[in-house]
Amino acid sequence: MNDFPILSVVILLPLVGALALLAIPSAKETAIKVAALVVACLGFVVSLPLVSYAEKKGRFAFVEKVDWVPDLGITWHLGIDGISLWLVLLTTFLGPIIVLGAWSAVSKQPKAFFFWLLALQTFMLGTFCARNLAVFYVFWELMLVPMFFLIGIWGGSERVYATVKFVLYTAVGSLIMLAAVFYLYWLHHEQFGSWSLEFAALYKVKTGLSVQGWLLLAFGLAFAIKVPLWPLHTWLPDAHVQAPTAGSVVLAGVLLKMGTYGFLRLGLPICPGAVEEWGWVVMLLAVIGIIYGALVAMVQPDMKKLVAYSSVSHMGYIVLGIFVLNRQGAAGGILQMINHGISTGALFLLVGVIYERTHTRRIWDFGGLAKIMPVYAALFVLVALSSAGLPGTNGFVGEFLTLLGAFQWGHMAHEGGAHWLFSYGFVILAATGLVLGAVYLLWMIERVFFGPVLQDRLRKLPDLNLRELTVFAPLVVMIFWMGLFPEPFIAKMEPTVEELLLDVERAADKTAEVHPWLGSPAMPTPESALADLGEEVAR
Amino acid sequence: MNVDLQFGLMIPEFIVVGAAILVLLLDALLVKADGDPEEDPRGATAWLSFAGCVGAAGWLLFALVGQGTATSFGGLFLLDPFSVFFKVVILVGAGLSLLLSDAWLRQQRLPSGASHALVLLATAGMMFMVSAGDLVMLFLGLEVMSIPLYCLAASLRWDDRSVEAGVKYLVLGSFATAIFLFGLALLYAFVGLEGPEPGTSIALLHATIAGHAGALPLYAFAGGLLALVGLLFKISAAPFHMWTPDVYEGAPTAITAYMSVAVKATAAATLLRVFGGPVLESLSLDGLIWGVAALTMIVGNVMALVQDNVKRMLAYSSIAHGGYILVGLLVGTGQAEAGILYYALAYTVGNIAAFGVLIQLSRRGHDVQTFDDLAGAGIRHPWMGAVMVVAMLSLIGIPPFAGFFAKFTVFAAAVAEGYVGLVVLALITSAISVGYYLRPLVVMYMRPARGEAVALPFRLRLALAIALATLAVVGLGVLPGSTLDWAADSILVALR
Repeated sequence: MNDFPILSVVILLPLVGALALLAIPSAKETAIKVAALVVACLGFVVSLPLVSYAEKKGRFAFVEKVDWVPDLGITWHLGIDGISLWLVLLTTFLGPIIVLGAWSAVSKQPKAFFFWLLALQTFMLGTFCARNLAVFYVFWELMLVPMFFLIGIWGGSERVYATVKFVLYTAVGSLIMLAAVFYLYWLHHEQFGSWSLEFAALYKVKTGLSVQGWLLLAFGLAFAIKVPLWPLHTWLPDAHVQAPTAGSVVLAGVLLKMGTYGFLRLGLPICPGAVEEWGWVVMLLAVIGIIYGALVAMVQPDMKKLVAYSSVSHMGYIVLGIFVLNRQGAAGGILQMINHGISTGALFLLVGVIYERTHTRRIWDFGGLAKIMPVYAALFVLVALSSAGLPGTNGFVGEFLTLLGAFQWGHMAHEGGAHWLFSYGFVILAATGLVLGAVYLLWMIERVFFGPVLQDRLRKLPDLNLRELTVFAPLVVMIFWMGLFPEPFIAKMEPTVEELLLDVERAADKTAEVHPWLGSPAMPTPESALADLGEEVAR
Repeated sequence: MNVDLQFGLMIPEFIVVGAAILVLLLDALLVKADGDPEEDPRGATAWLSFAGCVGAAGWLLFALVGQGTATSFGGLFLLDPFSVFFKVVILVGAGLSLLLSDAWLRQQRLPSGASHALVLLATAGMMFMVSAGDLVMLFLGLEVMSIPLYCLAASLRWDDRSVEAGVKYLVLGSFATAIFLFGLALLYAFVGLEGPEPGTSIALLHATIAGHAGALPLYAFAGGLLALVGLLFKISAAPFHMWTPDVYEGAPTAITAYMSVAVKATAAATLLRVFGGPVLESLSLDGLIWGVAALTMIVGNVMALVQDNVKRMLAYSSIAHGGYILVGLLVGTGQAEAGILYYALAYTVGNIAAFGVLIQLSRRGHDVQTFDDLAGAGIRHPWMGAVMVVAMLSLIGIPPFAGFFAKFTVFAAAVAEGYVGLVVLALITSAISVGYYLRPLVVMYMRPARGEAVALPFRLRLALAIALATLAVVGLGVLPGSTLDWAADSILVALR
């Protein structure tokens, strides 16, 4: 295939750029910002050739494999498929937007700020491209560090509390995951006689249902904290509210996707049987999150917190879509990952714009903004509607597919004899969440943008300037592009999704044949033992 | 009896002892009549001590590595890959702490020569200890190591805390040594009564234990237990850890750095040498070590959470790391042992980097003790902040720093032997450790600095030590392969 190590370049370019940034004297703030922007734009440009990814079932493209610690089975193994392709592009796409969005918001230590922002981009890209669990884990853990500083140094008044809470939650999750990694690592050694952390090798490990249950619990906890799935979401509102705008955008735009990506990349293929058996528990949590997040968002007085809780709600759809285990659901879930990155990222940016001007985010501080800042208001309404799933915007396609998938799952379950309340309950609740989503977003818009202007100081607010328009233009383009022409996006991911679901189904069937604990073929039953004996006697 | 005296095997030890003697002589020549502590403006004693460590390590690495096992003095002195590895670790710890302590002593306007000589002598004791093929040799090494350390802990004579640290260390340490000696005596009796021939060789002890049919006599078990307790004291495993926080807090910061890394590595080596592999299980001490490891991880990590003094926090964290090392000891396979070797090195460089930052940020009269002393330091001194970030991440075990692969190898080996529960506990306590390792970073970056910004002087030796340690932390983490191979080649029991 392609000999040029394009993925390594895409991944490492932001980090190299970040290190180069350190060479610029701290006093030259503009130079630092321009350099960061150039690096982020370059990062996007070099990632564009990845679109040439061919939608075939050969799976991974742009593969790179170099030995790292061969004795431990650790290789620098990268590659992308239809799932990670869009997430990689989402990350590089948001890169320059975030840098430009943070242009005037960062007053103290801009050098360190942009250093961590660019470094974070490398770590996120690395996680999406990893084909070896060690590489995945390295980047997964490293992501914590920039976020810790971004929230902790440039955040709001409660930033230390928020950042420590964020790091502790995520680190606990990662360490639980590490336990599962060790176990899997050992099982592979037992069954194949070699130490390996390659994804492909670990997928082949035979595990019984109870082992898979434990593995799913361990991996699932790590991913559920990242998503975050109710009731593990409590770090998210704090982190979002305290984080600087750029931090919130990265967090909502890309970091939360790590959890759902983890489910797709590790959860489903490694514990297929357990996902079929207990997947409904995850779905239940996802649906609770959808409703709970929406209800809590409704009563938030703080715009940023409202958007944060709406994230909890929206991430629920993604998890639901993934765990219904059908094409529509999975495609919808993955599409929704991108959509959420764009729409919620844009919402956080918009909230950041008004906060930068007024230093408040409380809804009741505003009113009638549409008269003062018409362009801003129009943009806000558009993005909010896309987030709520208005047809014609990106949000609609993803949510529709997800609900379709959930409905199909319900139909299958009902056919299989499950009670209708259990079968269709998920899709009914998820659809209700959609309505609630429209309610809290529109209600906020009404209170902020319409009605009389209550405070005189608002009257002098300038509308969006050229830089801000430049920030939002690509986002708006994407909102409509993905909303009106979703086909190319889905087409690239579909073969991968189908293959993944097929693998899961096949592997789930095999789970039952394996002894629940030992991972070896099932213990002989008395009948089969007798039959064996009979055969031997006959011989 | 024909005794082979291969002095050539001991050249590294001779270099270290020779350096100690030269340092003392040089110090006597340089000191002025009025006792001005600034007697050695160019740091001749510090460079000489450092050169001693580098020379010894270099000799080990270029002349003695990969030579298989050789013995001298009728088996008293063993030179095998295992001891070479640990000697290098100890020399790395000693050499870097010598550079740290020189900066610290100057900053506090204290004479340095005697301190350096004591560090070198203790290092020589440690080197003999990890090379001991015989229980008597082991004990001699232990004493040669301990006595200089008692003096070093108390070397701030006018500081009550330092004197308290020294006395506490002396009394408890002597007590532990006595227990250890009693254990050795009982084991000697066991070998004499039940073994093929009387003797104090470790190999003979292992052979006697392995060859013994049926249950071991109670006095053999007691001997193993007492000897084990003596060593657990040195590695500061709970519940024998009580001295550690006080001694670490009271001792001069650079000496704390030295003790925390070198003594731990030595104790780990000795535990592996005497109790490694199947020995623990044969002595039916494996259950005990399980409990001690679990308790050590819990006590070390939980107590570290509630400390306000950075040095005490690092003391408890060192206890916690001792617990992780004990997990590897308990597992007893070759993988686990290789993991411990790597762990010792990773922990050494990570801890030295952290202590180096504390020393660099200290000034005369403003010794960094509490977290508040670090407030805002990361922003004022970006380099020190960066080093602290790397050191703390490595100590937590976040990849790609040295500490990650250390934990990875030890825990993966433990899971492979079925110690899933203990590994889960180790991971939970690691999660707790995130809480306290983040605190220096939170304070350094997210709290406003107090007082006027003071430009830190550039001190070549200190900067060198910090830079070397930090590079090692990053290097061992990013490219662990060759060091892991070296560790795997240096173990006592066979790899599976």
